[in-house]
Amino acid sequence: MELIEIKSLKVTFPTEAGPVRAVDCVDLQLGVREKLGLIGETGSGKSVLTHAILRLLQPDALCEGEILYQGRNLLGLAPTEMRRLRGRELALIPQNRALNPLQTVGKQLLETLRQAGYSKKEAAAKMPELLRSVGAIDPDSWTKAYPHECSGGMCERIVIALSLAFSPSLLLADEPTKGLDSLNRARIITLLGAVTRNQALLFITHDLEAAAMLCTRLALMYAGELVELGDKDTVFENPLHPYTRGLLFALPARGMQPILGRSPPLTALPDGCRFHSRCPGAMARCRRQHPPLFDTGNRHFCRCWLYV
Amino acid sequence: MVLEIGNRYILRRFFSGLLAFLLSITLTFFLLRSLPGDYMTDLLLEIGRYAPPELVASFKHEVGLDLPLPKQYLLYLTGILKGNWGHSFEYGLPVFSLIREKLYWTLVLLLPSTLLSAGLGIGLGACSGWKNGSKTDAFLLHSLVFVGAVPSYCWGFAGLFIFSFRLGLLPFGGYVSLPSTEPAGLFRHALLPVLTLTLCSVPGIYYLMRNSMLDTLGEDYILAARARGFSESRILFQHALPNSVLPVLTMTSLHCAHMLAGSVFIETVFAWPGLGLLTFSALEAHDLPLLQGIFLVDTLLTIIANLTADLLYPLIDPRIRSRIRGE
Repeated sequence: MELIEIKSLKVTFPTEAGPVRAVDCVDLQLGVREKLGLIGETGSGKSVLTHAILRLLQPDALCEGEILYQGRNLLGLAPTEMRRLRGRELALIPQNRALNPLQTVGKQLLETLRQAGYSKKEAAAKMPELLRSVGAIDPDSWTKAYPHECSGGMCERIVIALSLAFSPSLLLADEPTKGLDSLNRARIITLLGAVTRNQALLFITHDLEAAAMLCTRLALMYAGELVELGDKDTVFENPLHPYTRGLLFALPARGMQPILGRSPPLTALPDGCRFHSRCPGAMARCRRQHPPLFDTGNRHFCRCWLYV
Repeated sequence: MVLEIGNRYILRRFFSGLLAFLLSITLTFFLLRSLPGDYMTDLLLEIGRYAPPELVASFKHEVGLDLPLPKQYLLYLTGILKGNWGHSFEYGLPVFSLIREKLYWTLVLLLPSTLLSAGLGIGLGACSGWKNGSKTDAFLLHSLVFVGAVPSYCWGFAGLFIFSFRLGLLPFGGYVSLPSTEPAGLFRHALLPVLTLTLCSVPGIYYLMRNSMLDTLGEDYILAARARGFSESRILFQHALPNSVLPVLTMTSLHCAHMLAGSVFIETVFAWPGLGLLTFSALEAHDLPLLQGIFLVDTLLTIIANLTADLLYPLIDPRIRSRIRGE
């Protein structure tokens, strides 16, 4: 059985300009211990999708569809039941290495370990062990530090440690390599791979290479929709969607050719395919008709009229 | 902890406070001397007479107002350093002792209302921000916009009209005539002015606290705390509240100093024998030494309030603490 199964998920936010759909009909499955990379530009709906899984969206956001976690629909759970799952089963590695600036790292770790059910004594004993597991050589100096005294890589390790305080079965990592130098980026990717040996990972990023190193499957989002989904090697060797191809050609190793134009605002989506204005091979049909997600075989899916 | 902040920081704050003080009393001195009219002319006008120029001149000579301005200024400065703040024209008494007595009564109003308004403003603001978008939030926001839009003396009159005139529960003020420390009487007289002062300063603190809370709630670490399954009350009291109360702290201490100026209206409405009422009468009478003294005390209190906030801040915020240590 799949660990988590997202079925035609739609997330709509009410705004002054009318309702805005940030996530549109997304279908995704993630097996036990599977690592999936979710790739997309800012505003493509990746973070909204993760927050929807944790049910941490603003209260007026409307979620339709189903998010089945071990067969239970998360969208139908009572708030207290949902709260019991957060951290314990579904853990988030938040964006921007978010730590409370007024509390020492140790205090925040203790609080989280206590939340995970350890007694005060056990938590204090467990803390250095947890920090060592994310690469701290001198855990005591880490626990005494305030977040602003830690480097970016150190903060990232600490938020990873915080999410591992419980033993969740799914880790949602929201752009953990954002803003890190290449050395730290590589270290964090290695660390994430090491600590999630027994866990499923949803790795959100706009860093294709990082996703390729860490994940077995890739999902690409564009303007709120899934545009391509497939095994990592298939996607890298045989990218189907023009957007995926564009992203790959934009990599330094493959020519650094940027995709021209910018993604459409969610308030003014074009008719037809959402990518057509930037697509080098746009056809007449692409301007008129919105493409569904086609199954091209070999567990590879693509939202493009080329694959009817 | 204090040592940890660093003596250099404290010294620097202290000197910048001193500089602000000197600048402020200098400005006050020259501004007061550029006011039109003078004590003698005003006094005689009150009984319907024009002051003969010789009388005005001899009065000015007697109090030293005929000296060249720089000389007057120097005399004033050396006087302050020696603890001699001059004598009031109106009362003939040393300015310092006059102010000291009135300041006491003003603080009797100011301290409770500062505490009350800080508590209420922070509490209501936090509640409103936490429940952003709810009916409670909308109700609080609209009520406090209304409260803040009405001038302080109007609330004073409204309070007098309802509680003293209509219901006869509280005295009409006039504590001026019987200042004593008898608790029950003091309480009955102080209640309305304290509440009015509180009412006027709650909205400012409330807005700031509400906004600060909204900012904090948008932070990623609050989302992260929720994602760890912490209870809402833990998130509010351990994470959201301490972080959002920080900017409000400085504002509240400054507010306290502002209230000193605001008390001019309140003390006039309630005939309260404090510094505000003294300021009002000193302004009316062109009592320059007294006005100088009052403004000096205002400045001093503002600077002390600022200094307190500056010294408290690093104790609460570790980021500021490291920045100071790094300097």
